[in-house]
Amino acid sequence: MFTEEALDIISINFWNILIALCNLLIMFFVLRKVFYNPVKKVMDERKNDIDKQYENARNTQKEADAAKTLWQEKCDNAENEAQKIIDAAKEKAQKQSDGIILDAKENADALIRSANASIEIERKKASADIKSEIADVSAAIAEKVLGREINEEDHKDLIDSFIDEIEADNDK
Amino acid sequence: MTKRKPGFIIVDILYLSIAILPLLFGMALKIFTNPAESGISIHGARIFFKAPFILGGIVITETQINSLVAMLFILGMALFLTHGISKIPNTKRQFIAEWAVSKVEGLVGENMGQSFMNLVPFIMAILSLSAVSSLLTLIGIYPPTCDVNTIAGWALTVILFIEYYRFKCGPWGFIKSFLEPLPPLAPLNLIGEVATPFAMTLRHFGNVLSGSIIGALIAAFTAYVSKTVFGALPGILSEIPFFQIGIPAFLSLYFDLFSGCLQAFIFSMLAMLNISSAFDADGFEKRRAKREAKLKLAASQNSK
Repeated sequence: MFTEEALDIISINFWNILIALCNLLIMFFVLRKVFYNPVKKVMDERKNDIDKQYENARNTQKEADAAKTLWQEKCDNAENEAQKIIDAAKEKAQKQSDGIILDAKENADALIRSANASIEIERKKASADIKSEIADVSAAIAEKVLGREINEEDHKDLIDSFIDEIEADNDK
Repeated sequence: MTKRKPGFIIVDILYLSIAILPLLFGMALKIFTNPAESGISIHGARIFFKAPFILGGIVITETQINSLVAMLFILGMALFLTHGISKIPNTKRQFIAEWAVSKVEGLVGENMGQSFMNLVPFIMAILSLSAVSSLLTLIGIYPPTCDVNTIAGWALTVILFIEYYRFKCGPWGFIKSFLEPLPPLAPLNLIGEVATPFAMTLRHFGNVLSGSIIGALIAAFTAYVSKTVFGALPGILSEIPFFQIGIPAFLSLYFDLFSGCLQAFIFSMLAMLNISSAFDADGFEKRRAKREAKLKLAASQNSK
């Protein structure tokens, strides 16, 4: 089977060209089936995975940002609200204390007024008592001085005017 | 790395043997069938089998055997690299596989555009076949790229793709592409069309052939020089070709390793450029839009 023959350095043979052509085409299909498609599939799968993960990460970041701003707003609102509540409470307390003080003042004024009134009454009563006492005494003195009996009823007007004059003098 | 299951390792060994055993077979074939040579002998592939047939007869040579070796090697490596591939990489080889895929994809995307992404495995096939075939010289067996028939076959495959993409714009687009930029220039376009596979074939073939010829010349030259310089030494010392140690190996680093990879890259680059220049993307888009509009119109008429 083996011969010692060799081809010339350039020898064209149609069938050998055809064989080489078929070899290259076979290699093309074999490499596509065995090498390129599996590797490409794996690479594409991985690329899709990575893209998906990036997408997920982006979405999560967005959600987190939204939640953050929401909480920030809520925190700010809460502060404002607390301030409002405190202010309202302060106002209420102020009003209440003002009311209480006003009531107390009114009460005190009323008390003072009633006390003054009762004092006045007492004073009037006392002065009336004194008046009648003085009238009695002065009538007795006058009886002794005049030597006759003085009818208290007759001289009442005179005595009263006298006492009033004394009072006016006292008041000055 | 996690500890692998024994089944995984057995499949690994199987795939690696698909890649390695053909290489050993090729080396054995070379050793057992190569007659002893003396002096400079530059010839083509050794013939293993010959049968009379139409169109010059079927000739099976080292080229065909070694092409098969290279293909099996690529297949084994592809299987090995993609074995145990998963979404979350847990093998080092997956990085190599993904690196290769993304590199070729980048190359195709840059030179051809996104509409040619289904040609990425084809470019991979050209690159790997050409590079591995040229690098077969490193283990001492005949590189199939040194045979003009191999390269011609590849160039014709590229032409098949070129014409396929040219025809994608319709029969009228196919004819019109030859009439550009002016109708009288059609013969020149035709000549250019025919010249493309010749140019691609001869560029690649010439580079590999010149490399192997220079390699043979240097081997003979260093043997001659060491014979003249050290021939006066007594006994067996005069028989040792001292200059053949190191120098040819160093030069083959360029001619085999670097040039082999470079020619593979250039060939695939030319294939990409020729295919993408044959495809009129705008015309194709227009044609498709028109066809879709027609389909829509037909559908709306049917619904009425």
